[in-house]
Amino acid sequence: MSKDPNKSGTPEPPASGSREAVLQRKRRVNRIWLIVSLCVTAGLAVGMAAFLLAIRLPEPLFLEVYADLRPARSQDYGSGVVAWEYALTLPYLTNANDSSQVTSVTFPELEGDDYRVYCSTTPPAMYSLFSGAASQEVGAYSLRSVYVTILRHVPAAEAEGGDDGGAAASEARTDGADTDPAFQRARIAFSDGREMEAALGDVRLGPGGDDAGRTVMYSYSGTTSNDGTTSNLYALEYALAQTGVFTGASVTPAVPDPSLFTVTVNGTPLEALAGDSCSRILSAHAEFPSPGGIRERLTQYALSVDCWIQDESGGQSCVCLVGLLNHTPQTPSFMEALAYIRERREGAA
Amino acid sequence: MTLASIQDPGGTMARGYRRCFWGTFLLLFHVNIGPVPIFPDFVGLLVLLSGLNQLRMRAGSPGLWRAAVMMRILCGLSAAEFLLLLIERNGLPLPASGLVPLSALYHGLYACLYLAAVYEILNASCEILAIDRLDATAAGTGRRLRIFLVLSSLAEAGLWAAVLFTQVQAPLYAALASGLAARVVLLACFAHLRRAYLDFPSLAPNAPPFPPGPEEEAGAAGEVPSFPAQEL
Repeated sequence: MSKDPNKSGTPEPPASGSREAVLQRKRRVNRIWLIVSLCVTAGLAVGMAAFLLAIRLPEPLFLEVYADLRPARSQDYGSGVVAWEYALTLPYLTNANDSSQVTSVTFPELEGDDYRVYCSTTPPAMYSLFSGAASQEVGAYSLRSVYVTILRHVPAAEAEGGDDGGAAASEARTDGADTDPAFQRARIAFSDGREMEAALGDVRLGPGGDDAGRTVMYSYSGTTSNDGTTSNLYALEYALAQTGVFTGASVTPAVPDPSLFTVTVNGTPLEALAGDSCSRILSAHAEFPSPGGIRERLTQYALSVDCWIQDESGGQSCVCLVGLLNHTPQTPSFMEALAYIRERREGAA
Repeated sequence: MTLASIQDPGGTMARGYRRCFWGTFLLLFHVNIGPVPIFPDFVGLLVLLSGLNQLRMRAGSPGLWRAAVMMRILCGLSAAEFLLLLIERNGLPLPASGLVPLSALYHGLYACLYLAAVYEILNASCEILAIDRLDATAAGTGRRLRIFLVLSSLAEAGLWAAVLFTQVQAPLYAALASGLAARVVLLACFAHLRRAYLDFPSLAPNAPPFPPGPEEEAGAAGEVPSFPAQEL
């Protein structure tokens, strides 16, 4: 005796091979495809959301800056005080949806009445002195810049080099690297009330003023290659050759530390030329970091080479190669930004 | 179900699929005037929804009802997104969107709803086609549905890969190609469905004569022929 489907309440399954069975199987296959697609789509979205949550920055991360700054301009107030004006760009990575802006920047190491610090989130009038775009999207992050102007007040006599024709200033420059004011940290306040202290790297405020008897060579200060290395090296070699003293200069990775470059003239290290009968090189900063790894590539360098030369008559002159390695961080890719953040965290740990 | 849809089921369905086709077509285009899109997604979705309502006039399938509900949600989401975009462009302070966890979840929800809605439309269409004895078209629709699902999943995977690896262009192109191919497959599917129903027999006074189907021929000796729509 066969069961009556109307009485049991459940329809009898269609006979296998029948049209109904085929249609049902196709419906089942379609449903499986839908479930797989939904799982893939939803899984990717949830995974991505979790990943984005995990990589959120708790606070903005300021890129490292190694700058040997020279005053962009000098203002004489006529009261025996001259203000040297330095321009510094501080790039930082923050979360893409961070709507706060930097409202003030101070440098704890530069406290005192001799210094005034102003900041702006858009490039001020001295645009050409600053580098980097105000804001660029980098995946889940945003690479922004804050433009800082530092006014350093110095007595006019010191700024002009005194009564000895600049000899004292020359001496100061000769080993000025140790006496120049420097800072490694910045205290930053944001528009939403947050405050943070950021590790910057090393920024030095070099002397300005006395340009008498001083040849200033401005080298190429932009970057065209991805890592900013090649163009700067060519620029350095070109600038050295332009002095007429360092013909045949070349820049090669230093041995044994390949993270540094060394400057040689016809195979001789620059420093070793000191004492040359024709041109005595009194001092030279000829080594600077190579922007090789991701951390170096996203680090801003603004270094200069100062060469003090004594000619046959005993007169001193300076060949100041400004902006030799003005490496502005290029916009990194999202993964590069992640790698940089990881390296900085590991470095800090 | 209206009288017109009973009299001319094929025409009703064809009109419905035509609107679905144009709705999908509008979804394909992202033409902007400055930052503001001319055809935001909800315009295409509204056209698609009107097509769905047309289909439901003839066939009250639960699948079509579910698809219509999902389409309404998608319309709401898209309209809200468009409104937020306009507000943001007018300089009102809104939290910046960007690539944040919430936007990833929103994108996932939107994509899943769209996939499920398309599945419901095409799956319900397969059922209606089976009832209407258009088995070949039903098989083709099922096949295109599967291709659409696979291509859409690939597009999603490619999209996230492109977000992560911005320096490599391949995932972006793969995502764009897969997404475009998925939409083209969907367009082809709606076009085929429309064509199938253009030739469907009608009871309208000026319509071509209603040809007897195999079941009617078999039951000519006294059985009353059943009209396909009434089985729904």
